[in-house]
Amino acid sequence: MALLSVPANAGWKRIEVEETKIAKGAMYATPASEWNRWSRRPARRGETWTKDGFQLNRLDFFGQIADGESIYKERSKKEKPLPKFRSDMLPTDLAELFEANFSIEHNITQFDVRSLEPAQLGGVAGVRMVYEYALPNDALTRVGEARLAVSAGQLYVINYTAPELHYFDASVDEVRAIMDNVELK
Amino acid sequence: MMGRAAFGAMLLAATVLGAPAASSAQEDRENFLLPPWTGAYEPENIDERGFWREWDELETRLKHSKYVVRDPALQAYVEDVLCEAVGNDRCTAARIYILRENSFNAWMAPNGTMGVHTGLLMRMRNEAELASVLGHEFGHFEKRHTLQGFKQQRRTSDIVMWAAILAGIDLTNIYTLTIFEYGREQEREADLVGARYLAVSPYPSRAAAEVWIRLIDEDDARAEERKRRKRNRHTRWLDSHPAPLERAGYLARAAEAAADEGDYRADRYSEVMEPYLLGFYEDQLQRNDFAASKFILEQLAGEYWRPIHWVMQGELHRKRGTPRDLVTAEESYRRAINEGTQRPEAWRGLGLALMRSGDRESGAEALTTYLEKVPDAPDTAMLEMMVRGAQK
Repeated sequence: MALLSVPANAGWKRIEVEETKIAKGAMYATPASEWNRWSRRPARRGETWTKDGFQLNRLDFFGQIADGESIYKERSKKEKPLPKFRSDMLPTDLAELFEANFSIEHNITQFDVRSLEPAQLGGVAGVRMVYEYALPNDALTRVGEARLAVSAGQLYVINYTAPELHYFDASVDEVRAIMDNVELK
Repeated sequence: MMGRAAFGAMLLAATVLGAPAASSAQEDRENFLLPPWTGAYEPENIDERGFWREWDELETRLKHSKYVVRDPALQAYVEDVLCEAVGNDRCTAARIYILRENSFNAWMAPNGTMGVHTGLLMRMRNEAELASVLGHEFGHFEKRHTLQGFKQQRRTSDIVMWAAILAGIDLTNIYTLTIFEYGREQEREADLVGARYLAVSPYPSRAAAEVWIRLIDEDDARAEERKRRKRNRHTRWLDSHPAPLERAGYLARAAEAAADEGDYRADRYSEVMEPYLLGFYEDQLQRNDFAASKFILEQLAGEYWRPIHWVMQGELHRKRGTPRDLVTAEESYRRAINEGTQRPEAWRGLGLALMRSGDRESGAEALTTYLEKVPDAPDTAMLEMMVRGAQK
């Protein structure tokens, strides 16, 4: 039912349990179960997966973001400009960059960081941020877990979001395994 | 109960009486007396009752929404300002919800639900300005503008719009003080009713025009940075609201006519807002809206920069993060600390600005101070690693 919120012309492709080329070859990973890939890309080298619809679980991949580029595709420079990645950013700056990109992209006005700690993304040192956010008119607490790392001067991000109630825990172990084992190109 | 026509006629009469004349200030003030409050309007027929029920349902959802800021002290304060603005008999008709939303906005629904955005509280410089906005929204309610629109159109566009807002439509570029599609005349009427509340309140009427002028200037700053055309200067034929410049003009004339004195209560306002200000401003900074954010801060601080303002300036520049910004950020945090700020964010920001500028050792020192002050911050693990990395 939650899938109804996406445009009618959206296409889907099943992601099988096998090594999968992600975000136009920016990353490779092998999921432990099947997912669905949305045909609309969140960024030039980005990709979006879900199991049960975006309201229930969503996994976004962003690869090879160069200095001067935003994480999400900037859809309106004049009305909703997105902050850009700089290769001299500190780990805490990456977290703030993600927070702003995510919030502007999804029109979220309440975003609170639960924890920010060092972590690896596909073997590269970076950050892990757990956060909660709310959609207006919605009593559910939604939780996100993002990992960000810079490899060869380019930023890589994997972000997982789900309602805290049931859905977040249901897929988080599989998602963390993807974040641990993803191969960054 | 007084009919709508009679009520309108009474206001109209009062408006005429309120025209500037060769009379004493005292007489002018008496001319600005408000009509007696007849109680909140109750739905009278089946259509209206259905309309009310939909609003009640939306309010119920709002009640449980995580969007609402649940802070009893702040809540009590905003309720108090509304009562001061419109009078104790009227204000109890409103149920206020403070919403965590960085935009410059407030609204009121026909069943008495009133939404006040944290972005509004952040931008107001004093109690009188907040009172003028709350009074404007209450003016729509008292004049039953939503209901009039509903009667004319027999459709629920306002509800749809309200629901859309609650569902997270981006408001950062809507610079109206109300989300409802009232007509231009209704906006003007609400403005002038609002001015009448102010005229008989403890606040000066001038405050209303000052809010609009700042709204224009803020958007000009944003337009310049984003290289888009400036708005808000002229009312175009299809616009549902008078342009802010026009509003500022007639509100200033109304204030002149009221010739009232009053107390802005700026000190009380900044005292109440002090603990919330940085958090509200962080939500604004998250919107990647540098020029407008800078404008907001400069307007707030005016000629009396307090330590909290220096911390805010540090955050503003650090988050943009150009080499020049990092210098300004460092200076701002240092100034806040020298002037006695108690906000731990000053040391965090200073540490991060120094580290990014390449001074890792001094940066680590400031971050260590921050970690001593807030040992269980959400980012403790990350900062500890950065400190260790700098000391190697």
